[in-house]
Amino acid sequence: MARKLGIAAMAMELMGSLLKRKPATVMYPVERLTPPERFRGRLRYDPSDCNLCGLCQRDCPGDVIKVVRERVEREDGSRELVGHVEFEMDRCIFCGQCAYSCNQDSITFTQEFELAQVERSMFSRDTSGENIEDGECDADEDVVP
Amino acid sequence: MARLSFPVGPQHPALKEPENLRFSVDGELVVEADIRIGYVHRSIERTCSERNYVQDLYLCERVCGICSNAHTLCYCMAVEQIAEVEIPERAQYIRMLMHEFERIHSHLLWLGVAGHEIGFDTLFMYVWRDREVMQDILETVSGSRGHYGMTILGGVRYDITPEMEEKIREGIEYLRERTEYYAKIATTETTFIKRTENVGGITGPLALDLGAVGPVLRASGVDYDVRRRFPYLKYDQVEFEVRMSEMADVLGRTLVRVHEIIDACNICEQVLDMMSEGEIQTRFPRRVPEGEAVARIEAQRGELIYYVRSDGTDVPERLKIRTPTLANLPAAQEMLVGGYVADIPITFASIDPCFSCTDRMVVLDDVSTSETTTMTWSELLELSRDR
Repeated sequence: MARKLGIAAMAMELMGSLLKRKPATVMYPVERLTPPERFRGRLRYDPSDCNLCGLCQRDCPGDVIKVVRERVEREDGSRELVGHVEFEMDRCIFCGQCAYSCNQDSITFTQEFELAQVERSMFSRDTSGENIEDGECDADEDVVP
Repeated sequence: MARLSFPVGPQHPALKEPENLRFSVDGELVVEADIRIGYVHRSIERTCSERNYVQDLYLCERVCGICSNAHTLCYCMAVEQIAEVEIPERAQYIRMLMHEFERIHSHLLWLGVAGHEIGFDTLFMYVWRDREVMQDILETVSGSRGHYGMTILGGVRYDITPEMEEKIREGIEYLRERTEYYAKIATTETTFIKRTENVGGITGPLALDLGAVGPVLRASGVDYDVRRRFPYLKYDQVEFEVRMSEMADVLGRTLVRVHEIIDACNICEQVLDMMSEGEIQTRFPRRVPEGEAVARIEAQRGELIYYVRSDGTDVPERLKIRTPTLANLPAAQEMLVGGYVADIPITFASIDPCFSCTDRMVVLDDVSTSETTTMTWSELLELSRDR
């Protein structure tokens, strides 16, 4: 008897929820949900503040990031750090460690989530920055940032 | 009647992951069962010895997609133990919250799968819809639905804001109400009871002898929960009951998990009440001092163990993972014997198996010649490619 009542109660619940509830899904792609603030979508690299320290490269678990840098001598004898950062985005796992490691906030993640491509070669592989002035290089810092 | 033997898997529609089960049946009864694993070996332990501690964090997180936070938590606990770093109090509470959030979503996921395995797809749909509430909370807090990247060496990456706290409280209130309803279904719904009662039974002493852990062990009436026996984080400061069942069958395991969801909701509320403002990270050395440590936690599937040995560099010398599924497999084999063929999926699913977590490679040294084998990284890569 109790079990029959259980089934009846469940049927009532089902009917009630059908009348009260909205659909649990959204009509994608007509309707899109907004990802939360901390969502890790497309990686954005801003070379303007980057000091080419290489912390992001050292901590990246997917070997996505390659910091290419060299010190060149100016005409006046001072030295300048020149280089750029390359990203192999087809290997990125969106863990966000690079943004977390970056002391200059040069790497951020946006809320853009539609990043699928049909071929590996279509993922962005290179983001070249401008020549960067000799900055504070703390790649050998002995502490996890 | 002649016995019939047949394999299930490694590629089979009933199994979501590649594993091989070999059965010997007498009519509808299973008389022998053999579980073979090793189809999803990924060299994770060896790879960890090639990367630094920060990179390993994300590798360990990817041991399992469902209990990803449990793996990073256990890994961090082991490494922090070697480095003798104590994380701030607020970070410990946030780690607890994430740990319990993950338990809620994992048990809900299991409940849905269990419904699906017994042909109760309405339950599957309902439970997975409700699970989205927890997924949303996890995404809001950590930025990701699966691999959260929340637990880091020396604390947690993100703090819980007051707005988030409000959302969490609302979410867990809703989930508690829904889970109580599912607990009612599990104890009153005829279809559910008929498919789970007296199915896949294993006695407490036998489960203990076979090394079972987690809800499988507790459902056989054994009082063993790492959170209570060996409290970590702040589990000694929260009130919760170690859920057990004397039924020792699939129904018992269902009830243990369902009640653990309700308990997890209660723990989350207690943690939110206890949390005080403060730091969420502490500085962590890049080079971990020489030493070794073992950490154990109560992951949602059972006791998870990490062993880490450091040689003083920024790369671990050895990392060993013992996942709960591996511990539960001998018990699962025992549960399957004597049951019906039709009950194989739900009996096997009742241990909440995860084979991606489980697969570890063992090189058996030839005892007769007393020779030991050591493989280099390149040899191991070559072997994995040859296979």
